[in-house]
Amino acid sequence: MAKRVLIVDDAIFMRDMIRDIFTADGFEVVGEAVHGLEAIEKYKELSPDFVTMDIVMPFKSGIEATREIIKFDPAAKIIMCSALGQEALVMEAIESGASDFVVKPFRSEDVLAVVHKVLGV
Amino acid sequence: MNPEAIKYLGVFTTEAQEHLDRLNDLLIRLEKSQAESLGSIHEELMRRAHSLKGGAAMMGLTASAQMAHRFEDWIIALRGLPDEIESSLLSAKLVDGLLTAVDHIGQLLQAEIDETPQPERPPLLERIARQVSSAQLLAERLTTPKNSEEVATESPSLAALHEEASPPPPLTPRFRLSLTIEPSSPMPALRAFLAHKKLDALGTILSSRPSADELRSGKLPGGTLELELSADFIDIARAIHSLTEIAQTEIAALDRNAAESCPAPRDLLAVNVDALVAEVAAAKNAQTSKKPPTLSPAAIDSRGGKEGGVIRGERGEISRTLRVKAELLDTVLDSMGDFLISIARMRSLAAQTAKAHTDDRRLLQMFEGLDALHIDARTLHNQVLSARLMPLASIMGPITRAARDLARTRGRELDFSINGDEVMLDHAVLEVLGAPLLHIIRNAVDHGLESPDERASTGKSRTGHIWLTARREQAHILLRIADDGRGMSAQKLKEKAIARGLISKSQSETLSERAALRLCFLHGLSTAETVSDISGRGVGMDVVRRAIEGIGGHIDLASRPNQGTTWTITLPYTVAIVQALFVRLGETAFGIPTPRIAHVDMAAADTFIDSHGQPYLSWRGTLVPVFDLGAMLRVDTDFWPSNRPRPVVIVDSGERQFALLVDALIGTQRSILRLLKPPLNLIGCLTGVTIRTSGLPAFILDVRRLFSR
Repeated sequence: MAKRVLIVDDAIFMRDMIRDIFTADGFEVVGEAVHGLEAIEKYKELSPDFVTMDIVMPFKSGIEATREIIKFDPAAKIIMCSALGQEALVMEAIESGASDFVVKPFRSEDVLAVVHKVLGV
Repeated sequence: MNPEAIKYLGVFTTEAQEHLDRLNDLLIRLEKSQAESLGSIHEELMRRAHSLKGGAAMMGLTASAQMAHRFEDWIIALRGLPDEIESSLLSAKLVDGLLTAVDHIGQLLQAEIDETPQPERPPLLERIARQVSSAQLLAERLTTPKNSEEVATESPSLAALHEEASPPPPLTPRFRLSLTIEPSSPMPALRAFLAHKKLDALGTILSSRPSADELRSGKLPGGTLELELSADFIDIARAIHSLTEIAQTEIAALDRNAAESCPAPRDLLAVNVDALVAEVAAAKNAQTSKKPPTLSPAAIDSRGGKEGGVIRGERGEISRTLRVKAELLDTVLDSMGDFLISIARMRSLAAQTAKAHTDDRRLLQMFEGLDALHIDARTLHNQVLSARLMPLASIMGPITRAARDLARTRGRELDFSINGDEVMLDHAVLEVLGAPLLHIIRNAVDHGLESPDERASTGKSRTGHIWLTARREQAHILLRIADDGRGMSAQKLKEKAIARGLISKSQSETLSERAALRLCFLHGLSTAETVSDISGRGVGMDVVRRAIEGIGGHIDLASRPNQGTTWTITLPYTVAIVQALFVRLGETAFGIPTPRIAHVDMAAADTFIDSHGQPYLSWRGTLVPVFDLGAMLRVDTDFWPSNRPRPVVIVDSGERQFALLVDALIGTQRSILRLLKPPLNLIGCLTGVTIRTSGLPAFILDVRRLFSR
């Protein structure tokens, strides 16, 4: 069965891009969220196999969302989508339980490599 | 304690207690085990200690977590030792220290939970640390080839383990690992930090260059992270394979145990983890390797259940379990009893009505419906009963430990073997059974078994034996506790009983040998020659018998001087529980099931309202008819002047309330109900009989039937 992913990003073009990367590789995009609060709700509702999480977003940041999702499901697999200069934030996310990270701008193979490692497939 | 975790305290303490009991048990097995079974014991010891550590840390009980961590380290170190060194350590009373450590963890947990001062660290613990360290040093020397001549002179060094010296060396299995991050990585320090975090979760990172804090601030000179860590090889390999942007790794063993799984430095990226896991599993199955690299606790934990959990059976089947409060099961069983009775009543009523109106098909259908309901209810009742069952093994841990400790302090050599402790008993039975069982076994160690020298002089083996066997026989469980000690003398028991005035001389002459042995169940009679702090004060066996009879069981014994004693205990497989208020009527006690009791009060006869010769009591705005329970049951009661308030119990028969006059209220007690056998079952107003804590029986009243006539 195709692995199910929830994409969290406040930028439409990023969501579209990430969706295309996953769809092309046979993943099922089960949902998208545009801010941290929605990410938490959708995670609880959809229980995806993994999440790609932007860091800077309105309402709740990706770090806060990660923290709450991990609290809800300690086994949650969350991959942070960061940008150069956000090292400290990524560090915080990892300490909050994020599984891994990719750095924008990324190539599709970078993202897929990380996802495959995280899922162990 | 972590305030957010308080709501998990109940679950945590139950689980922690299970771990502690099991650790005790495993350590005792460790001491007795042959080399080939040591591996599985180590593994479970480590896993239990690891879970305990993790749980305590989650709860914020740091001192306990640290102690559990140290314990885990000792076991890891022990696992890394060659068999001959380990058995030498074990014979050097290492287990004493480890048992003390388990006790200490328990005390720390208690202190931290209660927020009372922490207990002092037992001095024995320092000895373990020294013993383990010297053993490791010795082991490393033995495995270093250039020192091979020293092997010839190993005996004095082995002997040195019994001494207490030498500095503490590091822990095992230890690896040196270097990781080089791909130069193209946009955040190399962060990548290394992620690796550090994943490896840290596997075991202990002993040193890190750069440190985690330096990584946090973005420092990774040369793109390489150098670590010394103590963790399982496969786990490390797996963690490395779950990371991206790693250009190269090199792992090398730092001690002998590590060298078993990694004989030469290698690149982990070139290791096929799946093949390695399969290889280890195969080696384990074939048991060809003496100590195959085992899956680390972390790996096992991640597969284990989260709450309640997963039980792995012998053949690897998995069954889900759920923790339920024992009181809930008691209540469910209570309600099931009432439910069954109501159905039985409706069924008999429906049967009578159907018989009287044979032309009405609906009545017949109703009867059939009730019949089906009755069968379902019985099935449900049986399922509730089996949900309450627990293995005898669940109470044997502390008993085994106590027997071992007592044998040691009394200088006995003891072989305590348990057979059939997988039999299942109702938890209410097990709750009570522990103390009497412990008493019998301590008695056997203390008074039954002779000292090794004494045994040798009578031609027995120096080691004394106690066998506990349990098996199911139809509706009963049969427990047998036998020893090959000095046995009891029927003649001596008779003499003592006469001396204490418990029986007369003429009575003693008519006693059979079996009956004479049963004298030991009398209060104030013990066969012990010497009074010790354990037993022999002449209290005990009467209490044991009372406890066992209280749970519907029976105890008997057989004994032969110089050959030993055998205690036979029969216990019910399942039980009915009744919670009752016990009342006194003259000399007799009766139980009134508490679900039937509406109110308890004091009232004097001259406050009753008389109507056509029937007294009534005003209660909550209604008039409740008053009955003298003694008169109803035809039991003599105390004399009560009409102006003296006497206890009155207002019961609810289902349709109406009645007030029952009694002599005194004794108190409520939850006890095991035994159904009456013919002809007593013909007395309609009694549900059954139970043994009270005093040891005396008391009938339980069936309130509804008391007033149905």
